[in-house]
Amino acid sequence: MSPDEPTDVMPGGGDEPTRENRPGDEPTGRIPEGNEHPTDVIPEASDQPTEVKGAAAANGRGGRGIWVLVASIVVSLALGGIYLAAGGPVGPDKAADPCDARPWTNPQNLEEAAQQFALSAADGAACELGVSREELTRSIADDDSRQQFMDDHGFTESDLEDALRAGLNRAVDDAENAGALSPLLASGARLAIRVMPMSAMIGLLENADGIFNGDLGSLGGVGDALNAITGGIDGLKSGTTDDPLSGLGDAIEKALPKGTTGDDTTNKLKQSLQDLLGP
Amino acid sequence: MNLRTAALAGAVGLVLADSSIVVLALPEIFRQFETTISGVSWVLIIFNLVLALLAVPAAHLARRHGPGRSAAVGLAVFAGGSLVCGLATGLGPLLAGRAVQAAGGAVAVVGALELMVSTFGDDRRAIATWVGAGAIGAAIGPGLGGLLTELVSWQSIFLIQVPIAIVAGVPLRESVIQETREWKIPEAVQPVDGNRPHLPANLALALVSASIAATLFLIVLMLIEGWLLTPIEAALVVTVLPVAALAGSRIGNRIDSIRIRAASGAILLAGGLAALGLLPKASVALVIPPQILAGIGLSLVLSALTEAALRGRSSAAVHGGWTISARHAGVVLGLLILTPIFTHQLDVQKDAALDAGTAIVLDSPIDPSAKIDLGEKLATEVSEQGDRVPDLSPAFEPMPTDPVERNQYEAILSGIDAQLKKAATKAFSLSFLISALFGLLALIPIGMTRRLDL
Repeated sequence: MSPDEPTDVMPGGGDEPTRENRPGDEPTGRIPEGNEHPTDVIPEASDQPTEVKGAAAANGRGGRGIWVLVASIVVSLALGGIYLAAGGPVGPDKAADPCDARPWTNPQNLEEAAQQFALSAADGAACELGVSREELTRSIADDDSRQQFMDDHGFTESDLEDALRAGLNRAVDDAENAGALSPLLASGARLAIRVMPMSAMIGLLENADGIFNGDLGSLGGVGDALNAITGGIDGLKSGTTDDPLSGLGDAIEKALPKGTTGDDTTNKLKQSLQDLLGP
Repeated sequence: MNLRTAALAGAVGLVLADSSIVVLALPEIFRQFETTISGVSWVLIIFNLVLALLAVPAAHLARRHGPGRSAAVGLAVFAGGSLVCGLATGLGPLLAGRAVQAAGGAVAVVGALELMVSTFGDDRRAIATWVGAGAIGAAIGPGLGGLLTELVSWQSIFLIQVPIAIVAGVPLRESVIQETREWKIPEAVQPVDGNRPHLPANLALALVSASIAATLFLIVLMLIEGWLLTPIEAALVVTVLPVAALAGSRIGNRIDSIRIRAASGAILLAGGLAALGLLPKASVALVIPPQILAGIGLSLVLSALTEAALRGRSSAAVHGGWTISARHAGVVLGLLILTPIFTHQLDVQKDAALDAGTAIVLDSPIDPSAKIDLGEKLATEVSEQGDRVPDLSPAFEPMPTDPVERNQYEAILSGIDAQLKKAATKAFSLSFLISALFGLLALIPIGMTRRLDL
């Protein structure tokens, strides 16, 4: 309340008891010194008792107070409601669940296919580890990030390798299901992924073009072996060779992971390839 | 209003403006001193803490030694503290200067109230002038601070206060001479019934002030650090709050019941703050309506509660001291509770923004190996830029020269910027909602005053 307003107004509002007016408190027709609101002063010519006017004013102000209170509640709720209805509170887009299947749009060229392959692989690996695709991708950027990522989550190198392998296999499955990879190439790729070291898997994530243009060299030693096999098959079709596996010897040796030499392993791999190719 | 009263009102406005004037300079101080958000929040906290602790003792000091002399000495100390702040080369000296400012300011503000009462000879008019001067000071503080920070420097905010404090003290000369010649120490204020500090009103003042201070601090940080507005732009945006407060005082004049005025104000304040916590977009236009509500609300609730706390009590300086103490203790409480929450939320949202940004990179048409490189650079930028909302444009340098690739990179950068703004807005959301809760909690002491004289 302004200090200059009439003193017969009850301090607590019109609905509260008040003390008796002191003589000095009674309004007069004179505008008090410094009063900037002469209309607050009851005119001398008024034919109504000042007490009645004062009480009416106080009641009016009390009623207005209630309306202000009600309006405050309504306006506050309305604004909050509007913002909620408009989608508040805003936040960054949530990372998609990497375990959800991502639709492969029909890739128009090798580059697009390779892009989708890399995304499927990142999804698969992230799903395996229970992290977001985005976090995993940042972690494989360099050795330090990878170590930090493993330390943060308590993963071992082997966990990460297994996850990447699972991710690449999912990408191959997705590519095969989308018709972007032939069953033969898909099987070959799976075979290669089974024995790939971590660096080769990261390399494949970064550049999978080779798989989609038929050059499997990007899959490492096994890729070379598969190139030899597909070359042999082409030779068989064109009648230039009778033995599609004739060029396989050196390629298989190269395909084996470091430290895994031996006839037994070579034979197993050869057998797998023969099973794959069929009669 | 004579020269002395104007000077007193100016002194009160100057001191209480300091609670908010530095708000827009905080991001600049934050960057220059390479501190943390928690660290820079102490530039506000220390001032308010010292003011809260010293306001009541300062009032007793003013009664003992004379309000004129106290106010003059207080203004001199305040000017000294301002000088220290303006010349500070590190966070430590700046905080020390702020403490000195607050100590001087406490003495000056309560001394000014006592002098106003004796000048007007009318408690209510003196209180209204005193509260109004403080409100105007706090209202123009952020805008003025933002203007000075951008046009000159953050140091100028403090340096300009030195001559203003001295000029405000000159008209007190007569009071000082008179009190030095003859000053009778008044009787001690007796804590008898009806003259004890008004606990519910002061408690409500503390809760309301907690939400107001945090709001100013948070809005400014959100606009400058989160939405990357310049200090002047941010000043223009936050000026809506004091302008609405001035409009609110006109509404308040039409309501007699202090309790209804206080309750309406607390509800509007809480409603405005809740809306700030529920922003559906990182848009300046959407910040305006909540500020209008909060501004009107704070005007209604502060004037009503201060009036209730001082009505019928003597001495004015001592009870005014209690209101200053309650208000600034509330500010400290708000900042201490909300700063760690906000800082934690910023970390959480930074990770979320990083994920959203990486998703944009991954889903973009650029070469997969380039995606990995860009992802690595983005992670490095985020890590190097510490607590603040990162500026990720350096990660995109150099931009490719091929126009198609360049467009792709620019689209990625723009998408990431949008995600960062959304994340920054979300980081403040919880703190705004807690501030709103403080406002609503003030309704409890306001309601408790039903049987008292509120």
